[in-house]
Amino acid sequence: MAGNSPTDGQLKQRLEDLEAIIEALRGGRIDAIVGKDGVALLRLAEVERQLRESEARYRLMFNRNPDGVFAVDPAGRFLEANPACEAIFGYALDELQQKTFLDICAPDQVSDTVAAFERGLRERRYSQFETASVHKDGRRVEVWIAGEPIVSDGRVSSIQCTARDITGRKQVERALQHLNATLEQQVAARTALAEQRAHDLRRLAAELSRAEHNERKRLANLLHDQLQQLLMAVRLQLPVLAEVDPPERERHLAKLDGLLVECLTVSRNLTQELSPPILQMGTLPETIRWLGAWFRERHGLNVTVESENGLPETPEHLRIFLFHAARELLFNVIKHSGRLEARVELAGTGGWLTLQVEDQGANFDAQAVEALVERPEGFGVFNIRERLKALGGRLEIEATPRRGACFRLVIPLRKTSRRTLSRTQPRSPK
Amino acid sequence: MILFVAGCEKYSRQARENLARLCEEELKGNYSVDVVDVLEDFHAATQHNVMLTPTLIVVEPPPRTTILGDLCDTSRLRAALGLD
Repeated sequence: MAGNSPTDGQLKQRLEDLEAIIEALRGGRIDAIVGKDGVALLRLAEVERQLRESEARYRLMFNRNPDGVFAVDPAGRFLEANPACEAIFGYALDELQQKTFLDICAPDQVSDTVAAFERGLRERRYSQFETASVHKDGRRVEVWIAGEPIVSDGRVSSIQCTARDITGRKQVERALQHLNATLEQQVAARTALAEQRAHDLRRLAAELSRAEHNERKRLANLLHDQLQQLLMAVRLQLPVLAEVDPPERERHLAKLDGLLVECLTVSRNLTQELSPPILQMGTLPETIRWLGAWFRERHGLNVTVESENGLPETPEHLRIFLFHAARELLFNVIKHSGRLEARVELAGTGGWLTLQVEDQGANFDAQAVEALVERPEGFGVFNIRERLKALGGRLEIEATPRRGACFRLVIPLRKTSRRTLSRTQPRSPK
Repeated sequence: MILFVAGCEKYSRQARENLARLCEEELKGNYSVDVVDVLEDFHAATQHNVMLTPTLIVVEPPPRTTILGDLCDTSRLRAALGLD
């Protein structure tokens, strides 16, 4: 056995070899280890260099990243954070390292944030979510977080996260949502208005057609009941002239002359009703005064007309419209107020021309007035209102101080001037 | 001399260059070097109890000397080659 033992010299040599190996390993200037099964290359220096470069690149990206980059442990405690985190959260690194993410989380976001972190830990994969934090100065910061767990030896050692301040984007999103909602409301309102206008126009067209028919019927009755009866009487008298003696003939001729004068009167009245000459020649106050006088003479309605001095000249189409409107409203006074008293007032102030018809009737009955507006007859209050809308004006209905009804037609004027109110009596129609 | 190297790895390459330069400058061609690439023949290394590369075994002049590393330590190499 003693023959197999190494000599002192051999032991010394082996010891020196081992020391040389240890020294070489420490010096690092070797590149492979040879074993009984093969060779293992050592590239420690290269690996170290690559690691140093990698670390430098990571630090550069970490420190210069405009997004917040931070790491938390599985309990949410901050381990490290780049300078951008200080801008987002308001806390310096040493302050963050005393906190967990939940410490700076907005209270209303804590439960969702906890759930997101737990999901990330459980699934161990990249995930992202939006939450909100409370800045050191107290303001709310909306943040987008992306995180990925770092798994080491089968356990999550940390979660590497990126944080981005999305407060501005959130504000824009909310503003857009509000704008969309407002836009939808406006579209709905405009659509409803357009539908209402279309409905009103259809109704207006139908009622204008009905009004025209009624007017034709009224004129036909007028011709049949008055003019045709008179002409028939003239025709029946004519054969008598040939049969009677001269003294009788004179009497018949006088009778025929009387019938023809009556025919002319009826014809003239009809002409005035259809289109009074004052409409072509007179001003608006003159036209309304003529109308008042006509109502007093023909229907016994006592109409008081008040007009400002110096009302602007009114276009013919507007004059005709206001004439027919006033006539319709005065007829309504006769039919509904119970008293033969009415007052018409013309004024032009503040850029608006107003024609007001009020009665002295019984108590103001809102339901009766509403029914009047909806009644599809004649020129109609409904038609007045629609025509006013088309002119850019409006119809106002209210109770008068004497508790009757007051209809005020308001039309925009291009020119306005200061005027005084004068009280005048209507003159007789001619 | 036997120089054990691992292919063209960095220190093996430097060891070859350092040894060749010194030998050319000092021995003027009066030398013999066997270069063994352990990546091609690692058994030769184990036979000589070589565990790391680069390793230079100087047989002549005696005593047998082993130098590990890239042979950048010129004084030690010169001593092993009996040039001092």
